[in-house]
Amino acid sequence: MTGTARIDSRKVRAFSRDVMAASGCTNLEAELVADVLVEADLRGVFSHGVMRLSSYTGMIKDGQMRPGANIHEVLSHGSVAVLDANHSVGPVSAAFGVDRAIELAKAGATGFVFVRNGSHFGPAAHWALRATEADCVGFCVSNGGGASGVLAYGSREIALTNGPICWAVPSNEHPALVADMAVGAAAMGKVRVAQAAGESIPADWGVDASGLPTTDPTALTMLNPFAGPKGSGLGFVMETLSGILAGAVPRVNREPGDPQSVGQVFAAINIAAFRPVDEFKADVDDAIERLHAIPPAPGNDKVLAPGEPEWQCRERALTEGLDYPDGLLDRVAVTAQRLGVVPFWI
Amino acid sequence: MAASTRPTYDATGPTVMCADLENFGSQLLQTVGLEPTDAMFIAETLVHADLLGLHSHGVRMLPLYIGVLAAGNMNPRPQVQETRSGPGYAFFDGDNGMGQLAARVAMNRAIEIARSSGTGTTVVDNTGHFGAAGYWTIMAAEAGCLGYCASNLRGPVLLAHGGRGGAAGNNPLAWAFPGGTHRPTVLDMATGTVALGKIAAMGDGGHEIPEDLAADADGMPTRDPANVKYVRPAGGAKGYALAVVHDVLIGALSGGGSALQKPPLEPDGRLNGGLFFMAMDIAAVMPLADFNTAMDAQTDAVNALDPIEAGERVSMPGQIEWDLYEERITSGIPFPGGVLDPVANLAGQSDVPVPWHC
Repeated sequence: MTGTARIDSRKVRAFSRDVMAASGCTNLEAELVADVLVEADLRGVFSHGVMRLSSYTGMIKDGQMRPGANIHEVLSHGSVAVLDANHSVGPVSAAFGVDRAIELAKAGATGFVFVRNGSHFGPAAHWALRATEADCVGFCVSNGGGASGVLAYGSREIALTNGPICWAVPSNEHPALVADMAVGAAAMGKVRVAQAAGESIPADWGVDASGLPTTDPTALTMLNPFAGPKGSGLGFVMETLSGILAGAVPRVNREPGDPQSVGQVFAAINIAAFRPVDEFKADVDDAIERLHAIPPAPGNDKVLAPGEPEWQCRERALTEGLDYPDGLLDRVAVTAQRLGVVPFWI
Repeated sequence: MAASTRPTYDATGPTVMCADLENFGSQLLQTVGLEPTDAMFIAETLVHADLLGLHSHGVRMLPLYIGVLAAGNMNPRPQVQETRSGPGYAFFDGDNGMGQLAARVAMNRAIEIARSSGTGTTVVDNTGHFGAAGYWTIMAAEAGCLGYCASNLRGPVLLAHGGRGGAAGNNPLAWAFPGGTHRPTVLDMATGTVALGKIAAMGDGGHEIPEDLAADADGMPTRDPANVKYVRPAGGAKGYALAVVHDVLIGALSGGGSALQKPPLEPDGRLNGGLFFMAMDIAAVMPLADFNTAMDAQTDAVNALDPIEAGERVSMPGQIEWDLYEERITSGIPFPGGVLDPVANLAGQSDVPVPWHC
């Protein structure tokens, strides 16, 4: 499949569910993973969408991700809880974590849930947005995988994973506000895309093995933090929350060959504790409309609220279908066929 | 305190001892009607910023604050009221007083709630500028908590991503953690590239500014500090998202609105600021001693990283500023040239003795 033909997201969702089920997930787990991955594709975040079926099923095969694993609460104190995800399928423990944070927030204004032994959970925005559906402000953090490292500001060495930090604020008429950012100046996925296309990259994305800025995606080995000390500082917040409080090891304290450990934090703030929810959402809607009224920069049609570009992409893909980058589904097809699932597009 | 490479320091102004500066600031604030204890507290928070090298948020702010108070646009003796509370939270009316007075009450309350409930979240409506955001999260960290805070004010000076007008205030957000044997780890960042005050300072002596920092009244890039109306968001879309989400969140939680929603000037001159504080008791998650050991290990490993500039130490957020603090708490604060001049002029008008040679 290379292509220009657009694909119905419902078909991709059913297919993804079948692949996850064939790899050993329960029906509920398979449905949840399919939802998360297809939502990512709908929002245009292909690096976190069904492309991940290959790595997810690979991790299940290797025992790094365990369908049916028992997620248990290690401790709780007031509105704080610590969960051991026991290497369960990432989106499964993430859903569990967010829902627990919401429950704690409804009882005590803010819920903070720390998840140990988690695994890749898809786009962070998915989980912060899940809290907004319960009329909460959502916040989540995860340290990143081992594949991409980010420099500490002022250093030539990797000190941070390229993990995300994300906030979501609910609204009514308009899509929720979302600030979802990895702490690096770019995603390693984008570097690989440029590499595959034979294109150069901006010189401020990262450095080569000797620590010098590079525009060659093949030579890039380390990413810069975004906005220098600010991205680096948020990176240490992310590493401290997920690496120390959620029980993974901070990137800078890891030894080569250490098993990859993922720590995640999910927080929710119950809006109703502070303000009637309707009034809160009406204010957010009004704030978004005021952003829309800002005159656009040359070459731009309209100023959008944070999170709105991804939402527009989703609306378009829901009606017109998904338009996958060339080659992406070919690799997914190989994974599916190995598990005995016939890709519907072949 | 943003992690930054060591600031190149223009210390051509006077060196002032911390206690002298606090007394001086307190006396100045009393001239516009503040209670002595409140005046001293605010002076201490400002001098704290100067000790850390954050002069943009130090005693340099006094003429601005005192101008607002002298004009009668702010209540010098606010009764900060806890108007609502429940499990895990409290809500305050700042009574149109100085933000520091409301912030002190609200962060202390958040810490107190966190002690019993794990987390404490407090929101303040109807207050002013609260100084350096990091100060309040340091309070939480020194109490064994994670601290997180943010604020908003009127004045949309942060340029919209993809736009030609202001979208939010150049508001700060701060996080702090207990730092083990070190001082707390503190991230205190504005969501714009740089404070407008710093841009003005860069232009002193007719210098141009880098093109990616700021924009003129039409939202177009400018290198002339005199034409600057907006700051650009730090990191483009990322800084824009951080700024808008926090500005709108605080506005909607407090009821005071975001920078775009606040009237440019209230009829009674109120600043109409909103504040947000969160504390989470580290001991609710793990023994504080274990957390501190892990923070020390992280800090030590960061300090041992290979620096870009030979001889420099790679630092945790806030660490460079704490180094300055340690030097200055004993040997005084060496000010950059010119920073204290407006403060000295103000003191001259109200017969408050200036503790340095002008």
